[in-house]
Amino acid sequence: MTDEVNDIDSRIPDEAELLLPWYVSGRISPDDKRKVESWLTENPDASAHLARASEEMDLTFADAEALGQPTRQSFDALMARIEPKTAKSVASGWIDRLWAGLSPRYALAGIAALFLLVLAQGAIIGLLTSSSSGPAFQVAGAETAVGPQQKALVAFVPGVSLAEITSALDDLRLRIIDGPAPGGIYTIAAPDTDAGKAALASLSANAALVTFFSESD
Amino acid sequence: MEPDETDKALLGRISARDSGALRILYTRHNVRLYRFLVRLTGNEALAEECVNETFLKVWLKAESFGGQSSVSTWLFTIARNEALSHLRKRREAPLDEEQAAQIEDESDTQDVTAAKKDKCAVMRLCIDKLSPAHREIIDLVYYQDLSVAEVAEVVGIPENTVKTRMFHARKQLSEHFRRHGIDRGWP
Repeated sequence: MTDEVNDIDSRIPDEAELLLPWYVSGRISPDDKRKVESWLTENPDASAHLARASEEMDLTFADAEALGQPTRQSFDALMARIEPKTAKSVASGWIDRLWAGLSPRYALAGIAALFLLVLAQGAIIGLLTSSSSGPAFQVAGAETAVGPQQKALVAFVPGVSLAEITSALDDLRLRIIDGPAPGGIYTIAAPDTDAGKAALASLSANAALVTFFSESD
Repeated sequence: MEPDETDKALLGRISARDSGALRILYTRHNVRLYRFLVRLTGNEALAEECVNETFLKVWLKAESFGGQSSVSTWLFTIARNEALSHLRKRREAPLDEEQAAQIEDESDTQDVTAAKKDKCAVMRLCIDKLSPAHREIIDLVYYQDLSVAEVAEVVGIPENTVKTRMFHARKQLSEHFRRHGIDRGWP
C-alpha cells in the first residue's frame, strides 16, 4: 500500500500543521499541543490555518447532528434478538413477573399500583430537577427561558435513571419545563428552530429512553 | 443501577447476561455510531443494521473486550468492521486499501447552486464527494472527537498515516469548497 502518493500537493507538511485538527478538538497530548502552539507563533499564516480547521470542525459537527439516529423499531428488533423477553422492556421484567402472579381480580389494583410507581418516579425527578441549577434541565417556574419555544409531552421508560435522562436532554439541549402530569408525563421545551425540532425528533426516536411522545401546542 | 456506571462496568454486567446493561450502553452510544456509519456507508438502513450487529456482537462477546482501549473505541472498531463486511458483500469499494482514499464520488446529488447559500449545506455536499476513507477520518476526528491513537486503532493504520490522511482529506475538502464557489485560501 502507498501512502497518499497521488495527493494534490506533494509538499510535506509540518508535523504541527498535521496536528491542527486535534489541537482544535482538544484531543492532543501536551507535547503535541506545545508543538502546535510553537508553530502557530512562528508561522505567519498559522491563524488562517487554525481558523479553517476550526470552521471545518464546526461545520462537520452541525452536519453530523442532522444525520438522525436509529429508529425505535430497530432498537426493539435488537432487544428481541438478544432476549425475546426483553423485547417489551428490560426494565419491566419485574412487572411481568408481578403480573404473572396476579389474578384478573387483582389486575385493576395492579394498574393502580403501577400508576403510583410512575408518579413516584416523576416526583423524584421533579424533586431532583427543582434543585438543579443546570441550564438544560429545569422545571416549571424556572424563568430562564427566552425566545419562542416548541413543546412536547414525554413519558420516560420506567427504570431509566435520572442521570441517563439528564444526559440525554443535555445532549439535545432540551429542558423539562413542567410535570410530572398524571401518567408520568413531562412537558419538554426546545427552541422554536429547526435545531430544536430535530432535537425533539431525536428524543422521540430514542426507544431506550422514551415510552410516549406527543407534540404539544 | 449506578448513575455514573462506567462503560467497562457495563461490559462486565453484559458478560453476565444483563440485558439492562446493554440497553444503557446502547443509549449512550447508538446515535454516534449510527452517524459514523451513515457517513461511512452513505446508507441509513445499512447504518441502522450495522448498529444492531455491533451491539449484538457486544452482547455475545463482551468478555473479549481487552481493556487496552476505551469501550467507545472498541465499539467504533466493531461497527466499522461490520460496515466493511456488508459493503464487501455488496461489492462496493473496499475502505481498507489506501487507493480508496483517492477515489472520489463525482456525482452531483443535490442542488449545488442552492447549497451555496448555506455553508453547512456546502459542507454536506463536499463531505459526500470525499472518498469513503476521507469521509471516515473527517467524521472520526471532527465529530467523534477521537485522538490520533484512537483513530489509528479504529481504522487499523499507523498513527503517522492517520495524520497525513486527515491532512489530505482536509485539502480535498477545501478543493471541493472551491469548486462550489467558496475559496478558503488553501491549499
